[in-house]
Amino acid sequence: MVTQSPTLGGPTALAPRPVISPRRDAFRRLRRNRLALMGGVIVVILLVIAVFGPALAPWHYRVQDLEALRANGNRPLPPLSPGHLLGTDQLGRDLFSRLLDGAQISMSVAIVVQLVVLAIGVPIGAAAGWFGGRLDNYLMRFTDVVYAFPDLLFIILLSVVFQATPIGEAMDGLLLIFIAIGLTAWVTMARLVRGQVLSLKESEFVEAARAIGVSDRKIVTRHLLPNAIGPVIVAVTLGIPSAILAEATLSFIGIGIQSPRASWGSLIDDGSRWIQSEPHLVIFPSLALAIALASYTFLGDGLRDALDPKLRSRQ
Amino acid sequence: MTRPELVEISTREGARLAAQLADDADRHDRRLLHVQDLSTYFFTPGGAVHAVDEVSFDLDYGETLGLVGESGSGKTVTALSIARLVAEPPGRIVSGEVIFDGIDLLRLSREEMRLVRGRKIGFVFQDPMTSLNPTLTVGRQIGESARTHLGLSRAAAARHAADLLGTVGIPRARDRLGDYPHQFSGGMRQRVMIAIALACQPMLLIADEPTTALDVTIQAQIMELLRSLSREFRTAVILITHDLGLAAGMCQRVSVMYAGRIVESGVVDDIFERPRMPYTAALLDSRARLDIEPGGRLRTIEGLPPDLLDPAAECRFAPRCPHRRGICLEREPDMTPRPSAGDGHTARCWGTEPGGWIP
Repeated sequence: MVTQSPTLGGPTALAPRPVISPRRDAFRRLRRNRLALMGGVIVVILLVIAVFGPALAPWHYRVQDLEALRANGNRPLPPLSPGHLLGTDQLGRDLFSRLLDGAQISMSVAIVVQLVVLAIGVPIGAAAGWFGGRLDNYLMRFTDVVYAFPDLLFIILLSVVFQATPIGEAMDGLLLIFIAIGLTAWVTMARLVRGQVLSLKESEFVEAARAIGVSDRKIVTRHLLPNAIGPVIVAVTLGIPSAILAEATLSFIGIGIQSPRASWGSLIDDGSRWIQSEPHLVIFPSLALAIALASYTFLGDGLRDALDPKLRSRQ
Repeated sequence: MTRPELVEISTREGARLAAQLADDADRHDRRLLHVQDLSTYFFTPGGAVHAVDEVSFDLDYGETLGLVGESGSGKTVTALSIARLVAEPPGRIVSGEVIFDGIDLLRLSREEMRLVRGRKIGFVFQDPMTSLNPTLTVGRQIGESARTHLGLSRAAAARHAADLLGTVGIPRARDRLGDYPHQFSGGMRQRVMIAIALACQPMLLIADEPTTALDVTIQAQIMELLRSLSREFRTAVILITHDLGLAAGMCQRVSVMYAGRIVESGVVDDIFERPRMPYTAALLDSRARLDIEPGGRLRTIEGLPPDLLDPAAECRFAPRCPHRRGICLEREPDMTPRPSAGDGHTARCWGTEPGGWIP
């Protein structure tokens, strides 16, 4: 912003009005929503933990504190033990450190799966909505088939088939999880984008863009998709908890992340065997999972309210 | 005001356009636009709706033509057909030719047609509130046409946009390039739309009810702007309106449409003084005028326009016409000259043909 010269005090020196872009306007509304703001803050904290947590963790996630374990009679250490804030598991691994590492896995699942969803869902939905006709029919029937297929069964099948291959072993099994969850979750995104494109392509500004000879490709990328971005952002944010949950479910039934790395889901699975005597092994990972899911959901709800033009007049 | 040099379309399509232009130039001399028997139907489950039925008219370079008629008479579809913007399906241009500057637009490929739109033909739509993209700044939307057709860089397009915004009378144009449409009022937005339409100095500007969505004072400003700009840019204008008075103030000639057909065409003064088609006369009669006595009612035309799903062979206005006779219900008249009303005056009416019964 150029600072105004103070010498020009005449009536011609109009102060430039601040430009309020639609996005900025939405952000302003989001900030007023306390629950969403809290969700957003926790999401940011989780993301920071995901990036730096493993480096800051007091223990490496696979290191066993055998001395302490022996001293405790080969039983998992309880929370608030010296050196182990949240205790250890039955192998003497620090639970707090493993939770931090699990955050990295959950957050990467959250983000990468949504990228896969965007990469598949947006082009398919946009193509179906834009071209319409037979292509729309084919794409949407394919989408219906994927939608109708039981997600978990499909993911389990994929995991089982590829488990022993390089794909299955890459990144401790994470890559396979990304692909498997992404391949089932894009369906709603495709439908959403199709609906948006269908309604927007009839809008007058698209017709106006056509009337000045803008190419179809640019109409889609410059006029349609930017106008559809609000609902897409909301869908992505609200899709994250289900992706995290899907990963946790997979890990819980033992086909997700491979040991010794652990996600929150597999920590719950491990802990469930000790749930009677050492409930903290289940409680803490479950708590982490619940907080993450709730935060994303609150943030997503807040974003929806902020971006939904119908609610604008209420402010 | 400086304007960037207008770059000719330099693609292969451009070469073809030029060749075709040279071919056709001799046959259709001196006309910017020659529309012949243009028919556009909409194919609905109930049958084909004849929205535009064998419409013919001409437009000279720099001339202003008013296309007047009530809602649903086919004015807008005619305009959209010229620019080939009719949604397809359900619509389709079923026949006719649209010779624009020597080129038959209906024979161009989609890509060739895209290069004509915005470059040679500008469009101003009815509702400026919805015709601008809410997520793009005004500057980028004005620059878009110049970037598409003239290959301007982003910076050059922004300068061009600032010039245009100033030309259409928006103060502090340079500062407002970064603003979004919602920061402009309706009249300002219509100015922006006009700036977009004129960005590449088109030869033809089609204004589809450009002031219908605006209030009356703004209406006058916008019409004045259109008038002065079309003169300055030497742009021919097709003004689509249901308001005969508006057309009279702006246009040299007027064509009146009814039920998908042109029913009368001529110089503005002639049409006003001596309408040769009862529908035109009824339209003139139903205007809101200052000389109506207080408490008096506006005149209306009895009845409704015919169903265009399957138009009958009769004169389409006959069911509502106070002057109709037997022949009107049997056969539809052709557009024929009415030299008594003025040069180039034509009408579609049995009653005003030579020897007719309407004085």
